[in-house]
Amino acid sequence: MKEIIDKAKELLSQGTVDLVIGYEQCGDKQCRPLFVEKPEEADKLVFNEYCVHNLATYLTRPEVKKTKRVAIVAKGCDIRAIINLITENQSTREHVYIIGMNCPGVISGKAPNPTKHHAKCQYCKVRAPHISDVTLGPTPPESVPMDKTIIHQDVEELKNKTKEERWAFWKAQLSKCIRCYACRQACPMCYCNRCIVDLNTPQWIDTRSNLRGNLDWNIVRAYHLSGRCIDCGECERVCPANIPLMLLNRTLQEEVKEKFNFESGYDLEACPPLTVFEKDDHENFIR
Amino acid sequence: MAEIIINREKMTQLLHEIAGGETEVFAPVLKEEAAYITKISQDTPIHYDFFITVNSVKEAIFPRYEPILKYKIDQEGVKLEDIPPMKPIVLFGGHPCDAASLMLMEKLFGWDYNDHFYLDRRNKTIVITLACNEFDKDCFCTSLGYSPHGEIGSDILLESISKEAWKAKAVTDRGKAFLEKHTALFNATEKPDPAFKTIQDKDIPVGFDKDAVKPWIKENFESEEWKKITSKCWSCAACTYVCPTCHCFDITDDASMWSGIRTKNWDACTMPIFTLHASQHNPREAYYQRYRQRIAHKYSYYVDLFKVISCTGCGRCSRVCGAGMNILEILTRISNLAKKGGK
Repeated sequence: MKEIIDKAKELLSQGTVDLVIGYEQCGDKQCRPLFVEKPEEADKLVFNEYCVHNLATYLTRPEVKKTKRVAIVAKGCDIRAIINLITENQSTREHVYIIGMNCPGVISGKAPNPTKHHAKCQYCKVRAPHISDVTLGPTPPESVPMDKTIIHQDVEELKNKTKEERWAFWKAQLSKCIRCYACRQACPMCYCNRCIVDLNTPQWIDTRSNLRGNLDWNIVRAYHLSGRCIDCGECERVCPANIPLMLLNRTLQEEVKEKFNFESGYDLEACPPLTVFEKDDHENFIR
Repeated sequence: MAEIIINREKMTQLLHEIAGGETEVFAPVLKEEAAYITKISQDTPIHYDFFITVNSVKEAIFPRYEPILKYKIDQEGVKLEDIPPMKPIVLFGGHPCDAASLMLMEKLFGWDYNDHFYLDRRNKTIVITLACNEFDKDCFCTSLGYSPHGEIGSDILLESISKEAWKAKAVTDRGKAFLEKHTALFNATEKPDPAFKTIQDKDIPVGFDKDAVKPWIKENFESEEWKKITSKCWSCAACTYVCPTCHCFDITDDASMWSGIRTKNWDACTMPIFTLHASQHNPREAYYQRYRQRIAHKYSYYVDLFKVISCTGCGRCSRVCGAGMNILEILTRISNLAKKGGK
């Protein structure tokens, strides 16, 4: 704790950055984002297993973009988001000071009584931050190699169902959507100045929260995240309707991994596969 | 008069019976570990072991979307199609903060224009409210003068006498008639369980001075404080959509060449597109301007229009916020600033 506070104070007082985005405690089992602009405000900064939010989502906000340089407290998974934003030209490595946190895993589940360990933490490859300006915290436990059949049991189960069963499942789930767009707003990868659902001349996506509108919205969002989602699970966590959105996202990420051998957010030099053309890209979808 | 007692089993039977007829029934249903006020059918399991539902009762009377006009075009011209009349509603499972919100919403929907979609439905609704047995750190009904046992807005108030049973009290004549009509089920014989704990007004601390908020907002519209208060808000509409008193809506048209439906959809001042002009100018471009609108509307503009704050202290917006915005904390901060004369 103290090392984050000291680091934030140092960065702010030396003028290295003009804003530090980190976490503060707001309940026994709850943390939340904290914006620190002055060294004396840094004492509230914490880091623990309840620091589940992906703070990279704030990097594309106009007020944060306007800063000279911003420091961000980031777990390995959050750093994946930062890297993806940089590879998509939404931020620069120079603008972001990454306070990387060694992370033993965070707790998911709804506040105020989160209990479940986050699925993503079980196979996390970046418990020790892969890219950072400074790394803090005790050395984390070794990562466990991912066993897809165990970790993504829910994805596998869904794939094994018939088309009709899957359709019934998604109809029931997506009917619950209230179109609050918490998923979009929490997502670090959803940064469009105008989201397609907000384009209303004409209205491309039905804004009614009926099945048609909800299918349009959630499928469009899932597609826009393919090859880009960094598996932080924020959309699912903040969903007031408890829709298992990560089922959609994980399925698409697995497709991209299989077809393009690509996982987003690990390599600063990488080109996102769906934005570039390579000679040996699969063409078997052209008939 | 003898006390009128009903238990969970008979309540389920009653709600299922009514749902089988022409009346729509809304009640708490468990979905992925949380309770939601949901329209039920004759066989929907009803969930009783919850503290407060994620969504509010507004969904029953002010639906997420509803058709307000339908038409068809043929060789003879445009023909309007009838919107089916509103069905009667039984709304079970809100708390006193929910019921009180209905009285606040009525003022708006019956203001300069009578919104018959809302008012017809409201007039046909029997509100059966559960007095609170629990509260959490986000509850603040007492700060606004409401009570966990309050009767405002309810037709029938149910107070727990044990885990399984309630004592029913008719608040309105409609409530009384409902109890009389269903007297065969409101006849349980459970005795009060002395070990069963409920809560009193004094258990929920008064967090701030509600009358201090409006003058501060009026005088400090441009205060830098708004930016500090709202820095972490990420501008979704989760808070407004679970709020029992947020009432903004949008009108959209879904039309093909020969027919169309005009729909009233929930909308939210917290979202950028809410005030986006056709010119692309947006008077509320920044995050803090939008969140300020949400607070100012409830605690200042609504008071100007209707002499009442448009908030009942249910705390749903704080519970649902993924970024950890907490309205009680914000109002307390404003009230404290007002007392100190701070900007």
